[in-house]
Amino acid sequence: MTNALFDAYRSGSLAAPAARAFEDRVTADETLRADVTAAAAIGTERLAFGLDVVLAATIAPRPSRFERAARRIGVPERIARVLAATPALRVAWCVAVLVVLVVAASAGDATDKSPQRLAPFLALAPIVSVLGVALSYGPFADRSHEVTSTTPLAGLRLLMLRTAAVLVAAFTVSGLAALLAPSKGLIQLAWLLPTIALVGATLTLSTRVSVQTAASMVGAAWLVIVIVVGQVTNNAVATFGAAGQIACAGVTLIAAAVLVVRRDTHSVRGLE
Amino acid sequence: MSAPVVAVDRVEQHFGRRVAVRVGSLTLRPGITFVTGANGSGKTTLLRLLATVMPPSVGSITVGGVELGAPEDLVSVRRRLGYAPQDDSVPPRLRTYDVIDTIAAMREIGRDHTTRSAAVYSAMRSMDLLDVASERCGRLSGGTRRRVALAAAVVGTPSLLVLDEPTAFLDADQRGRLDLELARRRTSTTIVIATHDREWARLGDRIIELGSGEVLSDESL
Repeated sequence: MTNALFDAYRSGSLAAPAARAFEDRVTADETLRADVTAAAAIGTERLAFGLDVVLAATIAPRPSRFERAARRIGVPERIARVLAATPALRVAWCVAVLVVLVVAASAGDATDKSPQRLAPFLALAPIVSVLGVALSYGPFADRSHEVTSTTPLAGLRLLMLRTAAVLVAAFTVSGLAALLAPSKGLIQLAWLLPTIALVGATLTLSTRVSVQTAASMVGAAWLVIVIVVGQVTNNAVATFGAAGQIACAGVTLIAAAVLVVRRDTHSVRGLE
Repeated sequence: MSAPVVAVDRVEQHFGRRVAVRVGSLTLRPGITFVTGANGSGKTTLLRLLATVMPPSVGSITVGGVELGAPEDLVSVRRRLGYAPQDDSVPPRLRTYDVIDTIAAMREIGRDHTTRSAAVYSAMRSMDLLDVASERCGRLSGGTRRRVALAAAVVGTPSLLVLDEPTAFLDADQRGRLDLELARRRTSTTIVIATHDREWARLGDRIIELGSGEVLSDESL
């Protein structure tokens, strides 16, 4: 073995196959191993780093199912790690939400296949997502919030990432509940746009008040709208018709615009 | 990366009508600065301001010449900052390794997973946490959870380290380990520690005593 080869290995400039061949050779030869150990003492810092990398692999627990799934669909490793720590992402929470939504979707007369029967489910599904966002960010929901608020990712970026994670879970759960609903057709998907609109409104309001307060305000307003519109039109699912969907799209666009303007608010605001 | 000089200039922090902190001028240099004072003297509020948890109501704070204010400046300072708050900041459902690795990921430590994992391992070793890497934090003792919080603060070798009552729940051995860790970083890091323990504070380079939110004494050791 030449010094040049060892130096190349130590500097990391050796190609992967050559580096592996080098390691195999060193591992197999005791004399060579002693030589390398002595030579490596010169670069102890690099050696210590290499050792830490190897040892870290021996203690690091297997990433969670959610993190593995996120990485599999192309989410960068660092972001997948952050997403997996989202407080609201718990199996128990998802199961509880699924049960509530399935009950809401199938409540009432079993022989009734009309869209009106889906009204409780359609009203609750967006609330579930808003609740998830409320449980994913801020000192009320996250014990590590004070620490995370001092990281470069703090603020709207972190809130948006966690919102995305919550929405993926909530959409999956709501989608499953919708599939089990007795009423079939487009009405099964009528919760999608309201969900996005309500979450958008929550995020926008959270630039002024805490996420939990924003979620409470948006959730309460939503329920009032659904009930009042249902009473006035004598149609429990009137809110989810074409006009309602267009209104939700409008709310979503306005929320997105306001969020862009106020995107830095969370970074500097501090604890609430 | 060199340790930053932290300059506090006519800073006040108000909570409603109450003034929690009122500091005229303070310059913190590399080394260990202890902040002492009775309960309610403003230690935690001052440390939160230094750690960018919240902006001051009045005045300015600069870290390494960068004023804390604009979001992009906050991000650049936060990349070099390690912080352990007074309260338990460890999520109970996460595993020890994951807590520290998540904070490391949020602090953008290392260009890749390999570099970050080495930093996490090093931080866990420094706080004697290797045996509990896979344990859920909710099952750990108060002292061990405290060490998890401290490991999350020191991961990636931050150049500004802010620790609020770091010895709470630690036994004598673990305090000794923390002392070693602080001594190792002393010349390369600006370290600010809030404590009630005046004896321990004598080990630092400087002691600032607060009372009613104001600096009562400022002693270099």
